[in-house]
Amino acid sequence: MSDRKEKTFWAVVSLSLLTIVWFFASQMESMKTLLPNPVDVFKFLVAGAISPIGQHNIWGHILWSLSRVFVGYTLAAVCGIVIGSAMAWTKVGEAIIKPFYLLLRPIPSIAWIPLAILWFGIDEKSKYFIIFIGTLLIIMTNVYDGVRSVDKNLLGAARMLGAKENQLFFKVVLPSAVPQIFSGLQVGLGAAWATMVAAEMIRSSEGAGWIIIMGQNSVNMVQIYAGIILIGVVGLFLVTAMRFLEAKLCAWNIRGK
Amino acid sequence: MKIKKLLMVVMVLIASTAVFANGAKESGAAKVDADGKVIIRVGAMPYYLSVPLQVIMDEKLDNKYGFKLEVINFPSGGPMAEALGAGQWDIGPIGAGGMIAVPTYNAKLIADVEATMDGAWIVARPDSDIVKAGANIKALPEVIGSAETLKGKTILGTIGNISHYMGLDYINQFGLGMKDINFIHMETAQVYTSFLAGNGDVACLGSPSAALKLQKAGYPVVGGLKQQDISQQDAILISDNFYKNNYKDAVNFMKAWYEATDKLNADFEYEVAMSKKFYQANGRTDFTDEGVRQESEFNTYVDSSTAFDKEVGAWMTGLVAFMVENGSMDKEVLEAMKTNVKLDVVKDALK
Amino acid sequence: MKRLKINKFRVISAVTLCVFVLVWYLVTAVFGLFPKTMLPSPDSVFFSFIKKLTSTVPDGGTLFEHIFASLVVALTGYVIGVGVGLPVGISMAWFRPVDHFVRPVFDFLRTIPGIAWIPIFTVWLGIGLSAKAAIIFVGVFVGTVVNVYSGIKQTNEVHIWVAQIFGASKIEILKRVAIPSALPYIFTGLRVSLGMAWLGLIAAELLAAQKGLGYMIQVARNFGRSDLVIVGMITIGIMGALLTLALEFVERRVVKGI
Repeated sequence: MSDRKEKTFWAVVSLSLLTIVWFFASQMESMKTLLPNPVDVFKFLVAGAISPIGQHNIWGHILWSLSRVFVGYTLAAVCGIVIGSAMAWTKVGEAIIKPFYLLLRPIPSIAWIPLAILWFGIDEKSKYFIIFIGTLLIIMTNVYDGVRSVDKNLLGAARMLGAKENQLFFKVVLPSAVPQIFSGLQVGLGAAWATMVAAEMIRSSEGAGWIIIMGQNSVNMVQIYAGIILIGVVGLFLVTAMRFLEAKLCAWNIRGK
Repeated sequence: MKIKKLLMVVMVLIASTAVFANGAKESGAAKVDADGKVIIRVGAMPYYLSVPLQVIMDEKLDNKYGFKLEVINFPSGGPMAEALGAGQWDIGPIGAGGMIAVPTYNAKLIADVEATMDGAWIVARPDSDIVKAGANIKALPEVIGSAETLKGKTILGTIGNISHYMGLDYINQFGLGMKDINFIHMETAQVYTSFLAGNGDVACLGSPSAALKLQKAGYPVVGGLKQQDISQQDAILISDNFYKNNYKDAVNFMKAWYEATDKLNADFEYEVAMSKKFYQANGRTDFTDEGVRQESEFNTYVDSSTAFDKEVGAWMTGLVAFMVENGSMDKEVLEAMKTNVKLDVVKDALK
Repeated sequence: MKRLKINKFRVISAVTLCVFVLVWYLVTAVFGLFPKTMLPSPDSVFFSFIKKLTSTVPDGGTLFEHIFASLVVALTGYVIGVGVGLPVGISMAWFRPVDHFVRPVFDFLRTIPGIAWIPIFTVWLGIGLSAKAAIIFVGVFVGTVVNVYSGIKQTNEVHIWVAQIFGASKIEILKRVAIPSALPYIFTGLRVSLGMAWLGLIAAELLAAQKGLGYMIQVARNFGRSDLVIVGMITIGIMGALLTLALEFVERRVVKGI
């Protein structure tokens, strides 16, 4: 507990220091167009929490973005775990899925935007698709690695005790891969949140990414910085929540934290 | 074991078909509303070319001609053309984006909307040698710059829209081509921000609001539609699917459209009021009373009496030919453009 | 027998790919379920690919020019990202005060995607190589730090005690014990961040470009050329896979050598 307090203390110190440096930097003549005053950015965020920017206030924008992330992420998590374990556990599955996996993994989610628009149109569905595709391969990678790295001794022991193949998978492999699957889900959530900005570039009139895009369109540096901070804070919150969940759910197997 | 394998193969087949089938778009006739009226999804942009839609809404012309109008808004022509490819609108007025929508998505060009003579500009930096070179083309006294000062310079613009065409025409005026300059592609908003931030020597802007803001910030105009004596002829497109399955409804829409443009051309104050109402309703914040008046004065809609005064689609075809010449499009595209200009809808509407 | 087995799975892989292309061909070219603008047939993609090797329509560059331009951007961002990420990750993991101080800022920044930085980097760095490399840097930096950090943190405590008993200083333990034992993690980090660099490419070329695979896709999109979009995507996929393979090859050499 005291460890946590210490961490919080240092977090406050370092973030305040960053803000102070930022403040003084923004006061310099040469930085005028590059850096807005943090006080202005803060004011913008506070004002935006009460009165709307565009059609919604900040909470509305965050909710919109979260709802997009939620749909795309949930789909990706389910598919990623199923396909990833199929790829890792059966040799045939690996032979079938891996070529596609290897080819699709290096393709960034933004590259899918043109096709997503043609296939799903310009509304919500194409955004879900972009977030889905950006998250799926990351979760798959982790599930694959997790299932593959199951302790061979464990498998041998279970086999000797007469476990069938599917018993082996559900009773031994999957539980022992849970920590890695969870870290995949955590990284995936971060990725989903990051992809959201790209997805909202398709065409949107709301969302946290939209705040940045509109800030850019109207050359409003304060709004751009506010949008970036917003994305950082919400992203941090999501990842922390996920870590908390992990700590609760797999307390038996926290590795090196 | 054999059965398992077979199952696997079948599953893969199903899965891959599902992936493809996911994207399948229903084609066929358009949807119908509760009263049995066909819903026409009309693509629009918050600019002059789409103002007649406001009249159709206000005067309930859709009711009169037996269809239901559903306006779908786009910020600019690029996304609008793309959305046509995705089957998201049936009919609508569009500018340079039509050069992509017609040949690529097989849309039909059925009518011209109006000739925009102004509203897109090229700006440079006030202290640059391009501006200092002054006017060098006799026929075009407002086009600033020279071949020597432009060579090797960085020009910002958006490939595939009016700014691309305008920028190419601008350097062509000085006998230069794409190879002589650095043409850097960015979305319009980024052209604007990057240029303001000090990047690039020349910026081509297809959107009037961004261009006007730059002019206000003190960047001199060195070219533009009016300056270069080129125009932008917006046109009404109709999707291939709607043309094939809802021909009669397209005719009805054009009847309503021409009644609206006749009204707008007859009454100047009405035109100004409708424009302002339309812009307001569609989220534009950059227009002024004065600007709208100017715009209405400069531009005239093609109406029922002038529908065939000029060769319909000539501008768009010329634009595609220009793009082919400059190596931005393949030759076959020009043929596809020409065959997709169809005059029958308007002929039937004005019967 | 074993050899035969491996071949069997290779065959399955090949067959699946063929079936996939066949289905793709059937739904597009044969049954025409999709308009070719929405999903071009595999043969038209193939011919676009062949044509793009020499043709400069519509974006003013051949495929190889685009690949080269993209490699320059991605590798520049990668080298800088790794160069900064390695020392930061190591010192965060090894020196407590640094960890306390840098970690909160790092945790906050890591969730912000490269693409969100575009408006700011445009203003700071312009529209040239440096701004594009900076967008890639963001992803690479985060990937490197995370992996190096956890690698060093996992150093076996017993090894550290032994070194301490022999009177090694903190820096010496870091150099002789922690870093070598973290090498597999560091390499994972290098590999993950190479993937990140490649993934950041399109975002970077969204900024402003005249050449590059991301730019090619962007222009193809503006011209409604979905066949070229797919050519670009497949090229990015293949190049990314090749880069990863190359690094894995180096990794095997180096890690074995120690």
